[in-house]
Amino acid sequence: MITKDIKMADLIHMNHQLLVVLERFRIPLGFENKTITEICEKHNINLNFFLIIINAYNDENYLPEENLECCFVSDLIQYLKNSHRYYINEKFPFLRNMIEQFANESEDPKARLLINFFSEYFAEVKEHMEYEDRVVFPYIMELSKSSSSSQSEYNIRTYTDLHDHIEEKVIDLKSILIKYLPPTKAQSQRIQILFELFRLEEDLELHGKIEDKLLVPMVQKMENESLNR
Amino acid sequence: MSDYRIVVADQSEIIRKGLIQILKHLPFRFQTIEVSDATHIQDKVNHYEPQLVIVNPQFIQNMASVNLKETFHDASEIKFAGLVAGYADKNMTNQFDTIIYINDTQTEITKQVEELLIGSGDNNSIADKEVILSDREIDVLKLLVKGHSNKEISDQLFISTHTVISHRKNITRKVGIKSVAGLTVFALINNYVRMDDF
Repeated sequence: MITKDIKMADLIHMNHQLLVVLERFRIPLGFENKTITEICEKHNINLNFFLIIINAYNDENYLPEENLECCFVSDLIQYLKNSHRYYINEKFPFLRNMIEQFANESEDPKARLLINFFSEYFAEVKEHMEYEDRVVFPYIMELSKSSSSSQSEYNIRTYTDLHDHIEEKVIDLKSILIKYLPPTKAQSQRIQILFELFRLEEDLELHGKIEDKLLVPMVQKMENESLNR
Repeated sequence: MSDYRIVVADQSEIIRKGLIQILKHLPFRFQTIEVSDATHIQDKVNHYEPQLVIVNPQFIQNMASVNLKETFHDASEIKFAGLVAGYADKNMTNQFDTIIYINDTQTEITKQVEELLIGSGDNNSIADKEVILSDREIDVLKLLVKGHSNKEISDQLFISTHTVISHRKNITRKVGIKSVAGLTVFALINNYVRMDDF
């Protein structure tokens, strides 16, 4: 369990995967000897919320002991929006460039199939995430503010049905690169792409877990309260 | 999304985490669900619908006194492995599909789990393990990647939609690719279809 007095630098040495979380909280590196508490204070970040996210990433079985208090709603949504921006503006374009470069240098027309596959996948992910930003998150914010009962037809169950399979195509692409695309030139690029895909898969899985384990229960609770009013 | 779900139930965190560490050497994708409190095990099993439950017999002694498989709702498909650290009652251990002993080596444990989940060599024909699609599966694959629905495929091949779905499941299992887009790339690479077909 990660607690507030741990040094920020030690935290990253312990689990470097947490680097992506820092990025989403917009915490710059160069921690010196500062603790988690000090860094959060410096960057105006809700310490308790930060600890929940860091622990959820660090231990797949972690669940916050108490129900997430509703004051975390806007923090959590901001965090998820930052994650979406990272995928859409950085991670996916970066990977698409890698794949294009590999396809060009592999000198095999079959490798070009991957460009299409990945572009389509990127478009789907983008649409899905933009839908969350545009429809789901405003709905939740509205729900958290409104004191009258919700009139919306929408509810969070619709949402949980939708986002089950987001990393499925990463797994498919991995299989194609590992098993099915014949050996080509530019093998080292192919390996680099695979490293990136393994990491992306883990990251998307964790992203989904944050949504399922933190966001969904919190919203369900708010929906129930709103119905009972 | 993981293909297998494994519940690991024991009071000791060291044992749970240690076992999960060993299971990471299994040659397939899976998700583990830890249970530390015996009163939660039924809920977790019903919720996650795992294919395998690894549990310390003493941990569930009180609830499973009659019959382990009857204790769990709809558990006929679930395999149970007992995790035995010391003395274990024969009547209890007999109910498990296999017993993992605390002194077993990593190789022994992963072999046992692999056999429980995938079956030993005898149960699975070699063809299933390799990517060898039957002629009929190739027919289905070709139509599928050209964008035809299950209904259209069934009409064209004169088979029921139920059969189409079962072929699709087998294709995905053999090839290891779930999405139609992924299967399209697979079919093009292997020349089952050509770019001109689209």
